Amino acid sequence: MTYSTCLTDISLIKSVDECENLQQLVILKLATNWLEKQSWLNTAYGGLNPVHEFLFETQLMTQCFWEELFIKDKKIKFHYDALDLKNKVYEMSLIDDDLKIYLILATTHFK
Amino acid sequence: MLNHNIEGAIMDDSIKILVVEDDKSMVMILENSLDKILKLKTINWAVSLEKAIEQLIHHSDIIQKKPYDLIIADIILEGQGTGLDLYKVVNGLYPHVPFLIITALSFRELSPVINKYRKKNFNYLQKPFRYSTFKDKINQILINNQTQYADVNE
Repeated sequence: MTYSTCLTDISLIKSVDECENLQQLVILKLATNWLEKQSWLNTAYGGLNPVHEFLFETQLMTQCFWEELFIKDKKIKFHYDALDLKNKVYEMSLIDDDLKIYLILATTHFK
Repeated sequence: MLNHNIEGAIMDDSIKILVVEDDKSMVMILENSLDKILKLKTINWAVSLEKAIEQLIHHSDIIQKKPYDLIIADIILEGQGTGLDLYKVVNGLYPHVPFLIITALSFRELSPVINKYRKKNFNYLQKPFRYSTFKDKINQILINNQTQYADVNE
């Protein structure tokens, strides 16, 4: 077995797309960490701020991706796919200008 | 700002390093060596790709352009994923963070990877290495990166 075969076998990232998915997962986790610390999130908005629900959905989705990647329990199957990650990054960019700037800059270096 | 004291050790209280290594003896060697080379620094440790990315997320925020001044990683790690996987993720997110791969693989074995990433803050050191070689490598990477980063921000 050559070193390259061995490295491919143990590598988690086997394609450019897989690399981009993991990068998107990281920036989504960073964005959700930032979002949950914002004081305006708890401001009354004629009821619960709708961003709360979006934040919860995004945290759940990123956690599911994380477990699928690293825990590798084949019994666990989630209904998300890579497109969901991309969509969440886009939706996240619509919430706040600081987030939008960060997400644009962070995804600029991909590939 | 990086400064050198008379022994050649880099003095900078803001130097942050992530070291990803699962071999305990190697961890001790790296810890002792980095202690001698960098008088003031913060080192975060991880044993796997998963833990390394967790550290990266924990020590970053959306405002920081550069969570670490240097990442050092072995290729073979605990669990699934390699140091090269970490490099690919980090380089896409933080292209200005220098990366040092330490591995028992020879230059010849690793040359396809080295040639591919040579100009993208990818550095390589073959194990076993002497302290002086490691020290020179670290100094060279940090000084080069400071120059590059200053150019980018000007």
